Amino acid sequence: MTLVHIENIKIAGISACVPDNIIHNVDYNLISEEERNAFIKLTGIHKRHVASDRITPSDMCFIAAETLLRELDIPAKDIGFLIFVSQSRDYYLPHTSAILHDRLGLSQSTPAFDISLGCSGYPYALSVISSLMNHSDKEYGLLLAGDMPTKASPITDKSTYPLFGDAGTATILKKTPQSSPSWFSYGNDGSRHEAIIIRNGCFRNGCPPESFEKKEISPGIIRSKMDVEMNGADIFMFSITDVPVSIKKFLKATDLRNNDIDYFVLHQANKKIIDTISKILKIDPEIVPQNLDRFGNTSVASIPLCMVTELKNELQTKKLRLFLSGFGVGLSWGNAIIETDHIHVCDLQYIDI
Amino acid sequence: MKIEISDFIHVLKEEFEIPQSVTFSSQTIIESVIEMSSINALIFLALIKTEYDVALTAGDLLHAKTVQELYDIVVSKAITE
Repeated sequence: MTLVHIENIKIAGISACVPDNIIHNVDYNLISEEERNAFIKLTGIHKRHVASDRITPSDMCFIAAETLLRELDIPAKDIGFLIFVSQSRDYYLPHTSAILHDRLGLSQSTPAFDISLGCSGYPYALSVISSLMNHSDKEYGLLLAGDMPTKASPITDKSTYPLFGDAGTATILKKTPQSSPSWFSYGNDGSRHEAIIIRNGCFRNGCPPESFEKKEISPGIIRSKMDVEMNGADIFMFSITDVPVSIKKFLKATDLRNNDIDYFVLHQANKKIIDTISKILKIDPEIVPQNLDRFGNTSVASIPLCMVTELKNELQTKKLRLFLSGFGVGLSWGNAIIETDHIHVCDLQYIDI
Repeated sequence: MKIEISDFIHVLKEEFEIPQSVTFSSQTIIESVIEMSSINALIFLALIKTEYDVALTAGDLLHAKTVQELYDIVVSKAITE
């Protein structure tokens, strides 16, 4: 286990933005009513916010960031670092953070770069920006985490379509000597990188015309090689086997127990996975917030989105110790233990699709 | 951890809400009572992991036709893991 310890950095505020378009899984008529009900019961996902082709995760992150900067009254020129973490970029090149850098009006001396990670990405990116800030003279850092997994999940694929939602988030970090240290741990099993994969559209396989041909893989699963391919059983077992082990080891390494943590904010993969991890680790479900019923799995955005929708009041009025755990594509996992102290949380923002 | 077949059957009956009126014993063909859909397969994997700390695979579920066969796989994995 790789363990990282960072001092002097705290979260100042957090915000999130979702498309105003809502898709209800009860209307998903390509599967039987019985199958639909079983899916909703297992995943806990009733509805999802889904973007149109007109917008991208960077648009949602932009609204989240603009709102947060305004409400915290932080001038854009004071942002010392910008990181955009996503697997849904605006263009093949340039990096999407360059576009956000311009739209937000950041200083030319502010570095901006992308991190390509999915569901595990938030703890990773949080540690990267915190570490940079800690070793610099900059006061503020802006972390944008957003994704649009619905784009590659066609309605003809029952294994992915009803699972995903879209969202963009913004987190502003502040350098302050008074803040409690943050801890991070990470892992990756590259041998299982094919468990979630989009095969075509990049350098390995290019994008020949047949990339877009839809093929029936099995009943209810019709997709192309430009769509996401997911081995549900493998991902599920990874999530309920490797992830709780990583959480347990991390707690032990930091000499903490379950009751030292106010909330475990886990990647919102699906209800069964979160419930099972909580049960295995004997964590009270009351301190494991979920928003799957309304947003589905929003990939890298799910942890900060869950903080905004489920913990707004607690985050704004109390000092909290949070355990964050992201896990998924890679297969990759990242955990963080952070302390928050009366941070600003914006109301959930909506983008017109 | 010693796993009793009677407890194993009880755990499955509870999770899948199998009525008392339905015969569900060690010799029962699992598919005759529980449809092995992709969703039920995930429920099986989670149940065996939380109850017995055993990581089954989708292949294990395909190989086990009867409750006894599934039980035997779980017991053998519980010993080796």
